[in-house]
Amino acid sequence: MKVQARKVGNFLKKPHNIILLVLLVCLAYLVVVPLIYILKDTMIVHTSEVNRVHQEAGTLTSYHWAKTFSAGEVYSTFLVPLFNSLLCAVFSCIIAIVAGGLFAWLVIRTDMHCKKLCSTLFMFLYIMPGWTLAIAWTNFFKNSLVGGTTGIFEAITGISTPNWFAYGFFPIVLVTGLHYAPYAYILIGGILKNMDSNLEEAAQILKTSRFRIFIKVTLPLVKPAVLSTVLLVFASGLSVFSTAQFLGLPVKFYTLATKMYSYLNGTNPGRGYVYAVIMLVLSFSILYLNQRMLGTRKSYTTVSGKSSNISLTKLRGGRKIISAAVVIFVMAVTLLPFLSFATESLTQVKGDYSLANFTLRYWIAEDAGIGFSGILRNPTFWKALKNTLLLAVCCSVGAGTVGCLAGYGIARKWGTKLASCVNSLTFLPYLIPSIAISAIYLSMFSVRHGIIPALYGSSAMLVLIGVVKYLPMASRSGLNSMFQISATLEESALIMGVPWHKRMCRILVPIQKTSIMSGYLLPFISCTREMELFVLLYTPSSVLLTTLLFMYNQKGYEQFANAITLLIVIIVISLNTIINKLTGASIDSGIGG
Amino acid sequence: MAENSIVLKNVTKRFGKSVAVDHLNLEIDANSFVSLLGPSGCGKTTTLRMIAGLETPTEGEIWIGDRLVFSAQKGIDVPPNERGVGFLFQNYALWPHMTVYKNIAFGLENLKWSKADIKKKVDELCELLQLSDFLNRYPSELSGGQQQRVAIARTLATSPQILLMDEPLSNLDAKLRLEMRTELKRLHSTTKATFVYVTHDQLEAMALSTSICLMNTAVLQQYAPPLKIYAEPVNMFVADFVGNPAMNFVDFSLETSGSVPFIRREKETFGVEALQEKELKASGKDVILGIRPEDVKIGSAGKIPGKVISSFPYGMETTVIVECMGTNLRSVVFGSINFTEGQEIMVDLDNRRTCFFHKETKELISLGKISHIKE
Repeated sequence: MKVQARKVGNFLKKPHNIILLVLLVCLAYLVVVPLIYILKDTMIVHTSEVNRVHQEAGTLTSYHWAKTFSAGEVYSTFLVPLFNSLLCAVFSCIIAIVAGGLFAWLVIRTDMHCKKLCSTLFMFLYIMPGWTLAIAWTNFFKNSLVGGTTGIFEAITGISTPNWFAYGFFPIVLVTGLHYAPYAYILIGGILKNMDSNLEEAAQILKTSRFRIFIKVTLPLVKPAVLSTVLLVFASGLSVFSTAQFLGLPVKFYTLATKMYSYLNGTNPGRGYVYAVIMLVLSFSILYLNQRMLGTRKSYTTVSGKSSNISLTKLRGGRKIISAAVVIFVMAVTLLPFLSFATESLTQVKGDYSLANFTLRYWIAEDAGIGFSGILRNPTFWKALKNTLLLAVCCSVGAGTVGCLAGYGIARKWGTKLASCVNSLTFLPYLIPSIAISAIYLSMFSVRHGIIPALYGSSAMLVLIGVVKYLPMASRSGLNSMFQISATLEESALIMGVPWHKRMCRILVPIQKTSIMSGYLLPFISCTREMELFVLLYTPSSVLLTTLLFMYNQKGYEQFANAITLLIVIIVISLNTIINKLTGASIDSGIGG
Repeated sequence: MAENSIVLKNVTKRFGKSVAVDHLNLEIDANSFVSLLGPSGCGKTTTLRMIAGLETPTEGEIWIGDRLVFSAQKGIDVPPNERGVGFLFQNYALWPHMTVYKNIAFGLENLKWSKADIKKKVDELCELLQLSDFLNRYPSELSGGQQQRVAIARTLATSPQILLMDEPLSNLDAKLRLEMRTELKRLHSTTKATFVYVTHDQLEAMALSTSICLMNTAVLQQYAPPLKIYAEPVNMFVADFVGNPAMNFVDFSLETSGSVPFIRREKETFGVEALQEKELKASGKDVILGIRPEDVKIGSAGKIPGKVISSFPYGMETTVIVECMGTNLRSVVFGSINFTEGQEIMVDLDNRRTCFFHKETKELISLGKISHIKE
């Protein structure tokens, strides 16, 4: 007994063990328990469903599952959305890989002009929230279907856009694909840049044709990067919500995520949870596939850290034309949305783009006509801005600190069961679609649980969910930064008897301040632009910029919605630029979605 | 027992299924300079880290002086900082964001020394290790040798009575390594500390240590003073690992019917004068003869015909590969002598130190001498 107690004592004497144990318990509660809850929620009668199920609230029922898969409804309410989701995922993937990969090749491997400008602008697509592009698309191409006004395109050309072009599948995959194209660009570009060009040169010396080299050498080498991009974009495309909501709703194009939202927000939440479970299963299978396919060879060892000389492909005669085309393309997809937000927010009467119709009243008027004052004078807006920034600070401090400590603990105990368990747990929230995770938290924390009070409607709930959702990002960057430091740097202080907090504050953190910083900053920026995570949870007292925008958009106050979108995009891009200049960290260096 | 002796009893370390150190028993005397020697992956660094407390053994006990610092059975595990050891890392582990002065002073600040005392100690160490000119530089602004000396100064600052070193010279160039060897020997005699030194370089181990602990695949092979290891290796692995160029091993058939044992190979027969004659006679029909290159004499005076295959003149000595008795023998000759390939030569093995190894077990059977017999 005494020996056992001593062994436990020895184990707990090491700070990394304590960190891992605490994390294991907390994450089990915050990540694993919710998963169980959500499963339970698919099988009980909720208060709003009493009239529908004709049973008392809280009793066990198979109603939700049975209804979902009942012969009458399975096709229209389940299979079609599932098929739509899969289709969106597949085509978004193709667009992201083709656009991102081609762009990476042009920027890194050819003598194209204006590389720096293009690269910077292209990253905007990823830094801007995905749904802003969706709003921009509607600004340009909306037709008279939804009633009211038409978009800029019709105003200028007089041509009415067909439904398939303005709404639904086509714009959703285009917008989602473009949003993730920079991600493909970073991953594939990274490989193209760091790939030892000796490998290609060796083939060249053996008199292999350029095409064969590309097919037989270059492509297989970038395969792991392409594969992980495919899986990431696929998983994101499968669960994309706000873009699908903005662009799909007018033509009743439902995906699993939007269907789930409508159930959760309607009178049949139990069925919404069924969709959440299905989406989770899909996400997990994709992760499993990812592990299986990459498995033992995560990346090729031939991709060394040092960059070697890259021989640029000469575009010859096409150089000017291709460069111009690329510049025009990136300008169109990044600057035009800005322009459209600004224009829309300035038009007095929607759909009328004549100069006389332009006004600043939606920005600065005392009374903008619909019972609100202009955005910049609107107390709700300032409250939302304050809430957003405050929430972002709280989430980043929480996620950053926990992520850094998790990274430390995992790196120190790398290879042990405890470490790999905590490692998977910190990554798990990444796989759970934002909408699903907020639905779970909604159900889990809406009532008091032991010592934890009911959190619904409180800011604490938003902070908690933000910390959990951004933990994968923060812990990845924490883990990377801890892996970059040789353990001996800490051990040499340990032997001298330097206590743990001093080893952290005086040695580990100062050495890795840049990458630890990014563990804090990525959640900060992502939180500022987050919509899907909070859209189910906000209340009037905890209104955020994104949820305010969502509300205005739903109510059709488009000038306000566009003004806020413009502000969010400007805030996010300037924050990212400032932070990037100050610390070297940037949102595009993380895994953020 | 002196405060700075170390005893390992039945220490085993397993990583998952693989065994890094297997039932190691080792007694390191106070004030000695012991090298843990072996090929990479043999468990020497793990052993060192277990003594320091950076790695937790799976089984066994570790004593430092009279104090039991680790026992798997009793659940004792004294943390590294309470074991009174200093540790010199292979990559130096200097803190890149601190100056040389700060690096050395950090440990002392932590012991709550006064500023004046710290300065005195750092100055003294820098004097000893010739670092006085670099106090305000950062590690990245120093050469490898200077970084190494800062690491040593930092480790010595707290005056540990046991100094553990993990291949401290492996990242230095050949010339600097030689200088640092001298430095380490000097430090050993001035500090009177116990040095435990991990290396894969047998020359370094030979030159520095009072005892060598030679390990292979997690198992201790031999623990003895360097010259004893050189002259009386307990098995063929030890014989082969220590010495450069390596020892020659030649298969012979053994005849023990007469009063004196004989060994034969091809047309040549040798009489054997073995120290452990009984064991040799009992060992079977085959035996492996081990003979150091410096004991293979070549020239015109020998009795066995041979032919030069190639020769490597190093200046001070020349290594010659000779084909003889149907095998290749390495021979080292003092001075620069030009041998030509294919040159006919006579080889002499008489009355030299030789080892006899068991053909199957590869263990040493006996030491002894051989003399050529004309038929």
